[in-house]
Formats: sequence, structure tokens, C-alpha cells
Amino acid sequence: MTMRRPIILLLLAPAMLLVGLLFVAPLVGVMSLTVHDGTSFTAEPIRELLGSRVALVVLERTFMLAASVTAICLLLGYPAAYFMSTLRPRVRAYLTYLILLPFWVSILIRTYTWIVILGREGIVNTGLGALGLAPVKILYTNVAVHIGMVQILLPIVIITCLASMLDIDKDLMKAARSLGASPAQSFWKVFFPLSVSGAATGGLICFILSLGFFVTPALLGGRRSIIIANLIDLQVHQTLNWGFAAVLATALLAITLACLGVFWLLMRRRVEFSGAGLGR
Amino acid sequence: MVNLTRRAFGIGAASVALGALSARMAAAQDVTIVVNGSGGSLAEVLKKLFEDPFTEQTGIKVRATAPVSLPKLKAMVESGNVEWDLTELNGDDVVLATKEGWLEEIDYSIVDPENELPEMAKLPTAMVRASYSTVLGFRTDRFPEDKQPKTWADFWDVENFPGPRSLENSPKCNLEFALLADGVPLDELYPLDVDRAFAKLDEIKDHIPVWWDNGAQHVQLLVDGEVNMTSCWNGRITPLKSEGRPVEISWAGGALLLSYLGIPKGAKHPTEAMQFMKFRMDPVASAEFVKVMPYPGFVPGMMELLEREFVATLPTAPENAEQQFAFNSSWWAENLEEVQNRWNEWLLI
Amino acid sequence: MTIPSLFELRDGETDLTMATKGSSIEFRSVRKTYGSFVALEDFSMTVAPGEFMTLLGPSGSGKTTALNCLAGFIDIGDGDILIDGVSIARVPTEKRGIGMVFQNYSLFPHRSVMGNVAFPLEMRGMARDEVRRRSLAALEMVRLDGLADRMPHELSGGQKQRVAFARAVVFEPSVLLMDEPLGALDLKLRETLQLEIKQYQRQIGCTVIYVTHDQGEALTLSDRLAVMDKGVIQQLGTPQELYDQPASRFVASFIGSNNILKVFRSEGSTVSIEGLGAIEMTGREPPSRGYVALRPEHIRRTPKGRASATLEQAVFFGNAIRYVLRGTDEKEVSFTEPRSGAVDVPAPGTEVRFDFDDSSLTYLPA
Repeated sequence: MTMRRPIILLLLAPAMLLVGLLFVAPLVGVMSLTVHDGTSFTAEPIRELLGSRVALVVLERTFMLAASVTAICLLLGYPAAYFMSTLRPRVRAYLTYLILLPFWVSILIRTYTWIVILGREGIVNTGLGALGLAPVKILYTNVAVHIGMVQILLPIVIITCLASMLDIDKDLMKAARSLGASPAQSFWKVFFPLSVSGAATGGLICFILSLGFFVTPALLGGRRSIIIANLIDLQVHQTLNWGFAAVLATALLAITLACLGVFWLLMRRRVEFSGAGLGR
Repeated sequence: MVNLTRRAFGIGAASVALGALSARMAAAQDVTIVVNGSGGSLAEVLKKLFEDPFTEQTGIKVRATAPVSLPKLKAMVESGNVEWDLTELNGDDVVLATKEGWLEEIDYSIVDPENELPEMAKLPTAMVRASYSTVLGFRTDRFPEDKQPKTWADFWDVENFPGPRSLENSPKCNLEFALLADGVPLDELYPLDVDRAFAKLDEIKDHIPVWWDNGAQHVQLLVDGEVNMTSCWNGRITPLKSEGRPVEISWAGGALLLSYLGIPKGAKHPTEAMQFMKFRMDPVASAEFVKVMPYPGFVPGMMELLEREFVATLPTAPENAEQQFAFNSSWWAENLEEVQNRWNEWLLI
Repeated sequence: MTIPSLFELRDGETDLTMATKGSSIEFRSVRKTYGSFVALEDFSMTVAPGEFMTLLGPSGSGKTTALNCLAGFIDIGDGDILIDGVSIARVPTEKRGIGMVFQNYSLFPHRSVMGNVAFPLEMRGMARDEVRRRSLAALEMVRLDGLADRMPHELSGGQKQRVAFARAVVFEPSVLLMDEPLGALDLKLRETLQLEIKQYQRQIGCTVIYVTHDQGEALTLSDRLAVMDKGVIQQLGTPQELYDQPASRFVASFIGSNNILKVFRSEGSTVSIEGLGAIEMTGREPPSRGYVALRPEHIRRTPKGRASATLEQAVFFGNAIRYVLRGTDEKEVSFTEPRSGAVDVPAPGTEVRFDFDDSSLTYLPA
């Protein structure tokens, strides 16, 4: 039985109203600030963006950070998810709980914890000192920012990868083995191509979340770790230059959407090509 | 303990005011004013010392909100949806907010009917609530007893005073500190020589692993031993000292700043807000408040209620005040955007 | 030098390599347990080269475990398995040279039909042209060469099964394992594919081990079959042997339909049997105890029959009528009567007399 269209629309109405009022309207408001200063149209914020070396450097830095964090998350998360996919469901469920456990602790607290661990006189350096080794400078560097962000984002990547891996019929690997593939070949020729879209989705989520990070770079990073969200915050709170803040936010949004578009195109091409097998 | 003298209570003035107020109580019954402050543990103290007694006396309820935020004020006034009736403000925020027309004129015949407040505490759109200092703070255990840092020149001297340092992630005060370190006398700071300040800041840049964003952070940096010295708010360090932590401040070259109370343009209860401003000037309650948070204002009669040794730890104590410079809010309000942009470029790239 | 692929041979052509194409397989006392559960117990059998051997049994009977041991997906517990006389206990799956067809086809969803069939050849490092030629030949054999570029999700169930089959044999394995390969298909398609599988196997000449729980399929396809229950081979023989001479009540009831009747007692030539009553046997020595099995098609309706029972219902089968009777002891007995010409079908409730040849009775142990 299917519902008739008017009823579906009626049921959707509250959610759409909520999204419209609380998301779309403010978003349009913010975006309008990029071309309108409240009384008249202006090109000032856009000119300011293009003329601001800080903004361009920070934008680039934001994307580089998101890219490297995503790469690390995938390199760590994919094997972890693969390992979990081979476990018995019961054990896997326990591990999943453990992986999701950090979500019960706020990002702020987790970030502060890294200060305690990585600090000049923190747990790591105290330990190194006890071993007679020289202290390392991690806190307030990009390394600390990476550690903090990976710790927060890794569970998301693992769970996304795992979900797609569990969808893969395990008999396919058996089939590959019976057809002459070594364990490594059955992984690379069968499991990997089938799991790569899940991994790519996890990577994309990770990348987009990374672009919007605020607290972790602010607390764990040095002055060169400031990314776009921090710069926007600076414009909102320190200089009260909301037009510039809006244009930065809009630029971030536009580039994020562009990334999504590229991802979508790549995935579509992959689906088209994947069948070719020999024909390629 | 401080003696509660009759004078301290200001019985004379208060009882007269009480008579007038009690007549209004029926009308004020349903009024709730929204007072915006810094929040945190301080909010508890404010509630106990000022807000609850005020409600008791006038029937006007007080709801406290946080945090202090100029952008929020801007948003409220510009949207016409003004939630706050009274808000704390920093000095340069007052200058900017006044220039933009975000603040109501204050009627000092309500706030200060006896004309007891010093003139410097009474701006047309804001009243001084507190004074505090941004000073040089350091770990006493990181330097030999006979060689503790005292001045901003010491702060800049990485040879004789080694170790990581921190400064606020803001040009405010830092430019002044740089100029002082470079030999500019206290009374010749303003107008700031921005180029010279940045040139001096270049020297220290690489010795500053972290630029703090708020008061909690510079406390943590010092306590965790992350840095050996930092610019800091005097009121954050005093409690650490009394806890026995190896920290100390030097008043030399400190920035003496003022914090204000102001009424947002279009506030719903400006009159009640001004009554509360007057109430905040109660010397006894203010003395109790200063003992918790050493940020004295210009409350008449308050200093006399405090012990001498304690007064000596306050930023406004004469021997401390004379070592500091008065932070020039007007200069900063005038030059903030340009200097801030230069600062961002200098710091972030 | 190019050796013609087996699939390229036309019917009637003889290929000398064919006879040696299949391998012999020997299970030696394989025992496999999971905790306290015994999946396989003293499992021994020898399969001749080119033979079509079926493991038949209900689920949990150990047939798939035996198959997985042979394929190398699980370790051989105790005992050993030999292919052409050589132990494969330490040989990894991919080196055993065994083709396998899975119940759910297990086609690689990211590869085309051609990509799937080419997979085992690619794994063997064959040259690209050769891979293509052989893959196409295999697809031609299963008549799917026109669908080489389709993706698995674009195929019907039968087509998927044919692709899976082509993929499993394209590298000309000497042993082909099939795990309930037709389980997911509808009856009509199953019957068609059964015939095709048999035909392909003859063409290729490989040894087949086929796992199913469908006794009809087993009888149709197999050279020999092993009926399994509780991890143990209950009986092993040709379909005819198992049909005609079941060795146990389990086999008798599992293969074909059967009346399994308890023997109460015998005195001289008279034996008292559940559902039949007292039967005077003339043709052979009556059973003294245990059970007898009597196939429905061996019972005939006759007015002078030795046994009688009340007709409960007569079911129309098209070419036959199935009578369900209930004896005086409430035991159900059924038989089938071919419909040749007009038959008068008695009304339910009627007393029906019937008889059978004594030789058609199979004596079963208790």
C-alpha cells in the first residue's frame, strides 16, 4: 500500500518547515550579507575576500588540513573496519560500542584531554623524561591538531567503512579463492573494489566535517593551525566584520558543495566503468 | 572580616530610596530584567551579593545571562529584538557601541542621585563596573629567585629569561607591551607606533608557541607549565597564588583596563536596569565581591571596608596603578579594524 | 601453441584428454567438530574420476561441511582428503584447482558477466587474448555470449546460475563442487538447468560433487549419491540402489515417497504389519521384526487384495491418482494408481481392498 502524494506532503511539512525556518532562512541571510550590507548592495565583502591574503592562505590551509586528516583517518580506519568485519557479530558489537563510546564525551573535553596528554609537561613528555629521553614538542603544532581531529573523526570513518563492508557477501571472497585468487588477490580484486565506495563516503563525511572544525585547531594548534572556522569566528567576534565573515562562510560552503559534486561525478563514473572488467 | 559600620550601609540614602521604591513595588512586581555578564562562578557571587537582595528590595526579578559579546549586542539592536536590559562591556566595546548607537544614554539622576561616583566612572552611555589589569604573569619556580622577570623588556629577553611564553591572540595590549619592551615610556605610548610595535613583536614571535584566547586558557598554560610566562589578567592569578601555586605577577608595564555596564538601545526596562546599576554601587556588597574577584571599580566607600594588605593586591592601589598605563579604549576603537587585519596577517601567515 | 578449450568441442567429437579430465577424490575418516557439535563423523568415500557424486541430506547433516573441507574453506579436522591420491590438507584453496558454484551464485557484483568468467583465467596470469577467447567459449557453452557486457544485477536467476557455472569451469578444473546451485530457482527452471548441468558435465568430464537437499534432483543428476544425516553417511550407492534398496528408515523416507510400516509379529508365513493387518506371505520369508517400506506405486487396488483400509481421500495427479487410506489401526497408507482409460474412483469412506507383490517390500532394521 502506498500513501497518496498529498498525505506524504502533509507529513513532510513539519520537517520542511523546520529546515526552512531554522536552516534555509538563516543561510540565505548569511549569504545575502556577502552582497548586501543591510542598506544597499555592495561588492565590498567579495573584494575583501579576493584581496585578503590571510583569507586565501587560511582557506588553502583548511583544505590541506582536511585532506591530510581524511587521509590518515582512512589509512587507520579502513584496516580497523576490515578487521572488525571479519569478527563474529557479538564481538563486533562490543567493539562497535567501544568505538562509539567517545561520542558520549564532548569534543571540548576530549580536546582538553589532549592538552593534558601532549603538553610540555604532559603525560607523554613525563613518560619520555622517565625513560631518560628528550621531551617532544607536540602540543600547539599541526601534529597535535591532527591527533585531536583524527581521534574525533576516526569512529565515523570506521563505522561508515564497516557498514559497507558488512554488506559484502563473504562468499564472494570464498568464490575468488576457489577461482584461483590468493588471499591478497581476493582482497584487492574483490573486497577492496566493493568496499571502496563505502570508504569514499566515510572519507567524504570526514573531509566535510574537517572543513568545519573549530575547537580542536583553536585549542591544540599553534598560530599557523588556524583554519577557516576560526577566521570566521574572529570576524564575527573581534572585528565585527560580518560581511567578511559571511563571504568566508559562503566561500567555504561553495567549495564544500564543489567537493560533493566532484565526488558524485567520480562515483557515477566508477559505477559505469566497474562493469567493464576485461573490456577496459 | 570587615566591620559593618552604619556608614557602610549608607542607611541615610538607602532608607530614603527604599521609601520611594516600595511605592513602586506593586507596579514592578512582574518586571524581570535581563542582566548579561561573564557567567561562570562569578555569576553565583553576583546573584548572592546583588541580584537576590535587589529582588528582595524592589520586587524586580533579575535573570542573568552570559557571555559578554559585542556581536550579540549588535545583532540584538539591529534586529530590534533586544533581550538584555543591561550588559557588561569592555572599554573599547563601549566606544564602538556608542559610536554605532547601540547604547542608551544613562540617567545618572537615577544611578547616582547623590553624585558620589567620580566623574571618570560616568560615561554618557556606560558606567564603570570594574577595573582590572593585564599584566606579566610568570612561574616563580622556573627562574632563579634573584632573577625573576619584572618588565616587558624581561619578557622579550629570551637569553636571560628562557622558556616558552604566551600572549593573547589579539593586538590589544600586545602592541603596548612591545613598545614598552622597546623602551617607550609609560606616558608616551599613545598614539601607538604600530610599525615599531610589530617590529618588536617580530622578535618574540617564534618564542610563543601558543596565543591565548581567554582567561581560562592563560591560567591553564601557566599551571600546566606549558609556558614560563604570559600576559594575564591579575584577577585570575591572585586565587592561584593563594592556592599555593608557584605563580606571580608583575605590575610593571601592566595595562589598566576598565569594564563597564551599559543599557542596549531599545532595552525593554531601562529604568529598572538603572535602578539595578545603582544597586551595584552598594559599597558593602561590592567589598565582598572584590574579595572574591579582585576587580575593584570606583564604588565610593568600598576601599575603606577592605584591609590594607588586600587593597595592596588590587590593580587600582596607588603603588600598583603608578606602574601601569591606562589602556586607551578610544585609540583602539578608532584603529581596531586596521590593526586587527594587520595582526591577523602577521600572526596567521 | 593454443590448446582448444574443452567447450569448443562439438557434441560427438571425442577428446582424448577428456577421460583423464576428472580427478579422483578420496575422503579418509574425516571428522569435524564445532565445540560439542559433530558436523562430520568418520566421513569416508571415494569418488571416481569424472563421476557425478551427490551429497544428499537435510540441513545440518554435514554435507556442506564436507564440501567446505574439500574446497579448503575450513580446515580438515581429523582424517585426510586426497585428490588423485595426493593429500590436500595443506594445500590452500586457490591451489587445489577446484571449481565451485555457490548457492547464491556469488557473482562479483562489480564485474560484468565477462569480467566474472574471466576472473579465474586472469588469476592464472593468462594472456589477455586467451582470456577473452576462453571466456567467450565458456559463455557460448551456457548460451550467454550475447550478455557478456551485462552486469550481474541485470541478469535473471537462471542467467546468473549459468554465469556462475561458466565461471567455475572456464579454467577447466578437474573437480567441480556445487553447493545447492539451484536452490534459489523455481521448479521449472530447476528442471531445465538440471539437464543442462548434466550435459555440461559430460562435455567437460570433470568430477562433480554436488550438494543438495532435494532428493529428486539428486536422483536425476547423480552417478552415485551419499545420503547423509547427523554428520554420518547413511547410505552410499547409485540412485537406483538407494531407491530400491534403502538400508534404513531414514533413507527409505528421504528418497522418494514411501509407506514405512512397523512389523508387529510374524507366525510362520503370516506377518502382522502396521496399516496392512495380517498378511499371508507366499513369495518370501516374512520379516520377523523392524519395519517394511512399501512404495506407493507398488500397491494396486484389487477386490481380492490381502489388505483393506478406509479411503480417506483420492487426489487427482493428472497421469495418476493418489489414494490415501487409513487402516483399522489408524495408520495411514497411500498408493498411486496410473490413469489408463476410465477409472472408477471410489467415494471417500469406502472400504478399499489392495495388494502388492511380496518382493516389493523392503525390510528395514528397527
